[in-house]
Amino acid sequence: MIAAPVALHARRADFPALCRPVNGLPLIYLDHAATSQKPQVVLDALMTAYVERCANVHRGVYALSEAATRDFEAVRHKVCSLIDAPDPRGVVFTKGTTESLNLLAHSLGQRFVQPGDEVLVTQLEHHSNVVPWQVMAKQRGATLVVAPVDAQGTLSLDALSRKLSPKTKIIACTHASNVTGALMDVRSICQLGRQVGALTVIDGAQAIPHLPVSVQELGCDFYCFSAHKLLGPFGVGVLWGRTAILDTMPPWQTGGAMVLSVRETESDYQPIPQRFEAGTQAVAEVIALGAAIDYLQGIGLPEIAKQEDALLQQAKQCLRKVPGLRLLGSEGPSVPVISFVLDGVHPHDVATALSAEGIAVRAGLHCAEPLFSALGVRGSVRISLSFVNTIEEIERLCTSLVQIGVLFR
Amino acid sequence: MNAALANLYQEVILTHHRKPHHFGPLPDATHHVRLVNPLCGDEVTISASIHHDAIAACHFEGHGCALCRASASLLTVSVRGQSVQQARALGQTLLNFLQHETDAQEPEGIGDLIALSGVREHPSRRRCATLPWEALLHLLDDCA
Repeated sequence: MIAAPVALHARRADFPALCRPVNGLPLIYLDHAATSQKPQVVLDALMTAYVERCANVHRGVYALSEAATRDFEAVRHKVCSLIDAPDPRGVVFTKGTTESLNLLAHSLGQRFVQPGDEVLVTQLEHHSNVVPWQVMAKQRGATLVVAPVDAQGTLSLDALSRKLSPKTKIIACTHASNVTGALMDVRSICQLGRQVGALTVIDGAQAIPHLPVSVQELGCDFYCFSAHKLLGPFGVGVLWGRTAILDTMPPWQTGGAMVLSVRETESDYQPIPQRFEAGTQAVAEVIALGAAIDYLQGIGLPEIAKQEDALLQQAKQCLRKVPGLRLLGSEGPSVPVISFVLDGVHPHDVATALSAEGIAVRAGLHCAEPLFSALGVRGSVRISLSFVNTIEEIERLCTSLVQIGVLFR
Repeated sequence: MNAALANLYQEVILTHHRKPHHFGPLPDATHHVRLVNPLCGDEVTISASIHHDAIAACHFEGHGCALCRASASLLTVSVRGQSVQQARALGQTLLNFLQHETDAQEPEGIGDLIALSGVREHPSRRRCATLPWEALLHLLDDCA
């Protein structure tokens, strides 16, 4: 007999932050898209790294530094296994997705973008995948083109391909919307990119915690994500790139660690990935990211995706029964992120009132203002789930939402 | 509703939110100021009709949460009929009270405006209540 799969919300006990009350109430944490809570094994790894591996990497010839370097570099291999990347030299550690995208905008801009060229983003990007390209396009004399979404916030491949031209040098697109959760057809977008000779940059911040990702199957040139949304620590991100392209790109930040030799007026740079890792790295945090990857892979991302999607569908059914509640976005594959508006109640009032019940949700524009102009609302309440959430928590949320509707109307 | 929430959304606030006073354009306004809270995208426009240093009428427009709407509605009621100087003093007193932690003395003679005091315990929501009053002070500066 095959044992029934274990409900993953039992894993909640692994997360100390989810087991302590907030304002005397049990915490119902529904803001995983902003940052995930961290399991004890990640916190332990962080502490152990500061106790047992606290040395600068790639510098010292003493045992402690060598051990730190070994553990730090081992995480490059773990990242490769997480995203099915072929070569650890393609894994660059950054401060987070925002820094990864800024690095790319700067370096790709210098290397590939000429006056008159075009850079394409979509209307549902997070600001961190819009503003760096705005700045770069202006500096390079290029044009930033935006692929529009429809009134449900859906990006069609037609709408995107209509904005492509032989002048398109880069396509920057999210893997999953941080507002509606909608998953993009990244594979097809990358194919379209290849047809016009454009490089593809994928913002994986919202997708990577929720589903198995293979950069080789997606066919993208670059993939970025943050550790802190992936059960890992703050302050660390990943930029994965095809080594053949990374090899030809100029550095972004410069200084120590990224140079081979420094003369008075010029320098030679390290090969990748060190060329893009100037200065002292967040050694302990990178090592703790490795522990987060081990933890997620120990559970299995396919099982996480399956159970989270089941919870997502149940949550949507529950929310639809709340009077005056309207879900934003469309039906279709998505990560467990839901945006909604509650008729006659401002999203911030909803969030404050929920907070009084111990329920943590996000309200506002979610750093995605261009998308809201398409959706035709001035903001939303967003809940973002994880495998540690339960349907009972969603039912508590819905009961509170019904009461909030009555209170404010 | 628990105590913390009841203190923030007092009945006065909810009443003004549901049925705001002086909401809409003021046709014979002599002064307008529009302010936006970039955190949430809320916006409020305060309009006033000011003659011989007296505020004959005050209206508000815009999009905001219950705290912002109620604060603006209370503002339009409070400053109507006041002199520019009185309104400025009231605005400064209220902002000073709302923007500081609970150690600030509760000001006297502000009537229903005391219902806004709950935001002092919610730092992320203080600006919702202060936005209309900041707009008012800008508006009154233009009367100098």
